[in-house]
Amino acid sequence: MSLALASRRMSFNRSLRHHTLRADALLPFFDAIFAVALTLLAFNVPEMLHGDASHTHLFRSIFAYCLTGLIVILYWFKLRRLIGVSRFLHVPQLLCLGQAILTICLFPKMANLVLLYGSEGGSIFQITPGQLANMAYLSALFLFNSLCLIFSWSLTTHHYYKKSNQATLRHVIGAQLLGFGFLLAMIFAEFFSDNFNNEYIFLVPLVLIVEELLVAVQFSGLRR
Amino acid sequence: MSFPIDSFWLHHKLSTKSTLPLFDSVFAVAVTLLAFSLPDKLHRGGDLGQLLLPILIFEFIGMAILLYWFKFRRLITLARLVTLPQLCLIFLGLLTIVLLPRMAELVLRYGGGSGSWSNWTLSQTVNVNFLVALFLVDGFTLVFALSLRRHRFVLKTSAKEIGISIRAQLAGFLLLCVLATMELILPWFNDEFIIVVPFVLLLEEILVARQFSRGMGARKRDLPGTATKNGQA
Repeated sequence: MSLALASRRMSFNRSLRHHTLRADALLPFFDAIFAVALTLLAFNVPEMLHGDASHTHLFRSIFAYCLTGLIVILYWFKLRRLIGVSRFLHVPQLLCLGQAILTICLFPKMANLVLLYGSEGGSIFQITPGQLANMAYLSALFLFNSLCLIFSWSLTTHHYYKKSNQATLRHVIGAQLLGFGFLLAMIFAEFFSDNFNNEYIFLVPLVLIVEELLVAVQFSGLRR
Repeated sequence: MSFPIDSFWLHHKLSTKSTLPLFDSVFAVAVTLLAFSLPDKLHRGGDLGQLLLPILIFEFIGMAILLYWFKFRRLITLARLVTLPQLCLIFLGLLTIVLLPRMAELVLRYGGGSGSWSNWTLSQTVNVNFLVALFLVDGFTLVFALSLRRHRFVLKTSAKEIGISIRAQLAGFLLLCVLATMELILPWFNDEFIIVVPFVLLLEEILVARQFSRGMGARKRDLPGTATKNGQA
């Protein structure tokens, strides 16, 4: 490596170090964001009820709240585990986390729109309010999942990551890729099929739980 | 009899560890509530823009708030111990940050219209209010950074870092002043500042990084892998 290139790389690293954050410095902020997002999700339950259909409406919104809440909690667990093992966060990872935080902030509002319009039919060729709400919500989920995946990938080249954890990380990435594939399939179905509307609300928590189970199974196999 | 002024102020000092949880929580609530500026209802027959545009604006303002969080947090960490005037600055900054979600909602709803100093409209009021809020957060951060220059508890090794931060912040503050002037004078410049502000803040951070990499030279930091046996980075 030439001397100029080496010195440029060194100065680049030094400038990056100024923007490095300890993982435990970010975690309180990260936790608080998820806590507020989770609390605000409950505000999607209607504050006023009218007529005979109110029972169904209330039950549906509480059920949707539980499912979306489960998604938020599973995402929190997934990303927090990754932050916990990274110890130090560099600029690209901070940017990744910043975008993930902004995406999670969108969830309560998106869930509200899905609850209002999500059952309406539609596809990318026939944009209805229901289709728009579903597309926006699924895109937010997809973005968050992608950011988690990119973050885990970034850890494989991370200086501060313990080498002994590499095998675990590989398993986590494998499970995440599987979930990513499922989510991609759901996005295709939502965008191009008239019949697939807000059914993903039930499927996404299942996919995330399967992901976690897969990680747990592989991890326990590794420990044995 | 002399008044024990040091012991009086000592009672009102807080360590960074005690300040940061509230600081982090307030920023977290502000960012999350920002998403509530998105529309509650979608119109039938409307295009993708009715949801996409508010999400984009949310992204820009959210990015600005996250950058302010990062910037202010770094300064608080450098301070190590926060005195009463500095605590006041932090609280004022937090009070202003909490205003931003509501201001953003107003900008999203009314900010698109034209207006200037001579032609004062509703959108002009809303845009100016949002810019003033940003101006205040930036100002409080700058004053806090300036207060660190004579802060007894700052490590000597952090002095240069603070100097660099102050210079970059001054540049950002001047750019914000230019934006505010444009908002007041030009009738065609309305809510475009929403796109420009995060870039100004990013530019500030890049400036800090560049100056740090050039000026700091080898410096021992508390990160693993940065110091070698003889103390050189």
